[in-house]
Amino acid sequence: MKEPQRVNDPATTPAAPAALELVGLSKNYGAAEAVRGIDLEVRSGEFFSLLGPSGCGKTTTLRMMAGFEVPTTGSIRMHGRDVTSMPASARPTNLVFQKYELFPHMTVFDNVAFGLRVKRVPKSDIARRVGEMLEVTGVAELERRKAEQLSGGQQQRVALARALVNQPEVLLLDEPLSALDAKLRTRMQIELKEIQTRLGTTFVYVTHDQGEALMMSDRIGIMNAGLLEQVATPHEIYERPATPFVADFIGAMNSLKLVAGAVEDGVLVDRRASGRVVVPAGVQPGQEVSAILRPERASLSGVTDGTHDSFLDGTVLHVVYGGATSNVMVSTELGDITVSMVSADQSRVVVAGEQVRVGWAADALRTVEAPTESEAS
Amino acid sequence: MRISTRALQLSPAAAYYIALFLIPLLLLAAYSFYSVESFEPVPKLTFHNYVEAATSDVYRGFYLRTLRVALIVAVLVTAISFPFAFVLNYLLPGRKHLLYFLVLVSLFGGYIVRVYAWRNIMGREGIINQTLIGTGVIDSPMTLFLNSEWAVVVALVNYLIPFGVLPIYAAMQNVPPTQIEAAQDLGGSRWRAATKVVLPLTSKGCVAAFAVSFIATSAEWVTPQLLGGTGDQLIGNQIQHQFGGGLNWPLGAALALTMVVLVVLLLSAAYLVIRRWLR
Amino acid sequence: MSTPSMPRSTKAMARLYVVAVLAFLFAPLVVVVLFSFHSAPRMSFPFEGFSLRWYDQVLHDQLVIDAMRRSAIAAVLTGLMTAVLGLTASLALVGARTRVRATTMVAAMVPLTFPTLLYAIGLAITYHFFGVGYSLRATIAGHVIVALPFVFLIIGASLDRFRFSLLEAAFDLGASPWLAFRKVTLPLILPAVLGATVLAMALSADEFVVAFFTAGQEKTLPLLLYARINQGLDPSLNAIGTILLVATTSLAWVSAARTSKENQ
Repeated sequence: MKEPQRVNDPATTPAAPAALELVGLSKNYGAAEAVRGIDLEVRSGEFFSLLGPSGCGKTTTLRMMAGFEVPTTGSIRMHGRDVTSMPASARPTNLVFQKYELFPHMTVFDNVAFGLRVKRVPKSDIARRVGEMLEVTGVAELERRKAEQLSGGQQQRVALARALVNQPEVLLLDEPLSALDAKLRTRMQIELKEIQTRLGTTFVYVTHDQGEALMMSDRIGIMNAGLLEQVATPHEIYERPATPFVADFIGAMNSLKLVAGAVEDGVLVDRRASGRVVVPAGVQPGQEVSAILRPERASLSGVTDGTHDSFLDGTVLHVVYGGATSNVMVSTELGDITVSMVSADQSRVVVAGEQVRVGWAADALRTVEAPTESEAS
Repeated sequence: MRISTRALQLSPAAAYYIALFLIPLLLLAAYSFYSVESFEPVPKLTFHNYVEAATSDVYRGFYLRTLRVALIVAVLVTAISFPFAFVLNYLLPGRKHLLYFLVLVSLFGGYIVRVYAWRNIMGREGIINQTLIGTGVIDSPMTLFLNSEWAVVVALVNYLIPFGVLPIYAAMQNVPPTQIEAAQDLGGSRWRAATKVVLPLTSKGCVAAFAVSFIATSAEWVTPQLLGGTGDQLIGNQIQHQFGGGLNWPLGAALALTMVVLVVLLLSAAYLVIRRWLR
Repeated sequence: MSTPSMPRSTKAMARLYVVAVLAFLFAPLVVVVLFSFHSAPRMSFPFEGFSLRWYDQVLHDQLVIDAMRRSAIAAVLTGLMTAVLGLTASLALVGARTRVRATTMVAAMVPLTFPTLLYAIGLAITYHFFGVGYSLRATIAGHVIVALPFVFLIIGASLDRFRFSLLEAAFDLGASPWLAFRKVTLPLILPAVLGATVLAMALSADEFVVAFFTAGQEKTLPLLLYARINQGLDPSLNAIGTILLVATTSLAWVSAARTSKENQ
């Protein structure tokens, strides 16, 4: 069983107390282990994303945070308070559901006011706070409309307002944008981030869309099969994935198997007939190592160009046009390498069957090991 | 946490069912073993009632007739209901809600009212005779309509068609018209689509329609009493009689339970036969 | 929804069949209503003229009025009791696991598989056993059992459509289970509950067999009709029949309208 690991980016060492802390949290359903021991600290005011494929346990974890699932082991703390046994209705969290779950028979106003009315907030305060929150989420003009008459995007905003108006210590969001079309989703991502920054509320956001997570989050926790594989800033996760799973899940990647050979010009290389590859630091001569290369860090050149630290000659297999960028797949001695390039770059138009050289800078190549040699503290 | 509250919330309905459904059934069974002394049921247990129900020629005649009539009615109801539901769902889908609604409304026209109506329609001075005489088909009123098994069957089929349409229609909701189109696209006729596609997929509904009509008819007594002749009475009449003038409740209970057993046996047998035939 | 293309003759035949069946279903009812307005004391053609004399006769008949009153009381009480029982049970079943709900539904449907005659004599036996006399109340108790499966069916369908996650949203916002039921569940299943109640009333108003064995002297309208039929055909019975028929049909209509409104 893999050990849970936590990778903290030293650049964002916390100064504020933890808004939400999970200690050894796990959840079993009979024999099925949905969540297998999670330790996590979410800082006050941060936008934190739980990212992972379907079935990794991220939604179960979120529901445990909300109070809808009782953990099998472990505890949950909020600002120091143990809330593990607190039911959902008492917890200082609010959840934005994936399907919004607006009360269809009530108006937008009544929906948003619901939580405040339960707490017996005075009427005038309710009117003011609901009005403010509807402004913030951009649906002020829908106040009198019945919830079942709204479009998906509108319902989404009302659901957000309904949760936020209660000023929760932590706002939980369960893939709230998954049902929206692409354009609306992009817009909502920007708006959500703006709202979060403006209000300063701690957000815990569950998604399976890595682009979304990378774009919105202060920090991301990547989950796989019930465990947290890495917790770091988006930049850190993308550039320095801690495990093969993370490397594969975030962005596309090329995987190369290198054999460290001799030292040339002060660097350890793997020399081949069709080129040479600078081996990443920390590898011993003679060692075999797996390394990843991001497609956008590789580029194509003519066969004689000598500007790259590492290069391999190969044949173009196919070119896939993708609008702004294109992917060129090149067959090389070390396997197929995908190169991502800007389509508008005319000087690099290539066709299948062409002989090209794939090159990259030495630091574009990273090794990815199981968590023994990594930066785990 | 919620388990005990849920049990509490279910308890009124559960208690009611137990008190006013389960207990009557148990007592019915119990009474079937009672004896009768000076026209009162007494808890002296005996098999006598069942013996009589099983061996008496009179009752056997009633049972056979009842099962036969029930079979005829069930077959007719199913045979009429299936095409009706089929037409509604696949040939006239635009109107299907309205038509289905009309069927339901006719159901609530009432039971006694219907029987009374049929008496009038079929009687000596009833509408059928009037029309036939008026158009010169016959000279004097025919008495064959009323007081005949035929009248009983017609009235029962008339009452039970909605009960037959309901389950078949419901089953057809799971077989969308696109299935028919698929069958036709593959070269079948609509008839073929009906028999080879819709019928097997809605067989549960058809079985339900058949069973409901069969069970309902097996316990009928008002319709035979008011529309049938003396030779057309069903076992239901006998049962009712024991609770009325016959004053032999235990026998009535035994007759009733024996009928239940016979109906269950017959329906199970029919179900097995049909299932094998459908394979 | 697409209609498979078909020749016009098939569609015409289909229409004819539907009309024929519906005509067959409604024929007896139409006859009764028609001849309740017949000025002559005969149920035969030609139709001689419209008259309300039978209604006049019937509505001045104390026995008829008493029977109507009893049927109305029975219907209302049956409706109320099935509503309460149906609601409390639905409270329990919201958010129950599917298997629990399905088993409960099946159990609730069991009376439907029983011929009413058997249930009626069982009930009569039970009353005899416990020394309870025949009365309208005794009948009402039986009507509730007759109506409950239908009520459960309708409320059950509404519950199936009900999303438990809505209740989770209410809890998340701080509501107690009772508050969540009152503000979220109840408004959403209310149309079905009302529709089911009205249906129960219709079933009770028309019910004959159970009443026959348990009402004793307190005859309901169907029982009165039956007694008079046995005494001999009488045109005024058409009026009684029509009154009964209109009552039950309108109740059924209202019920169907309410429950289908929820489906939209």
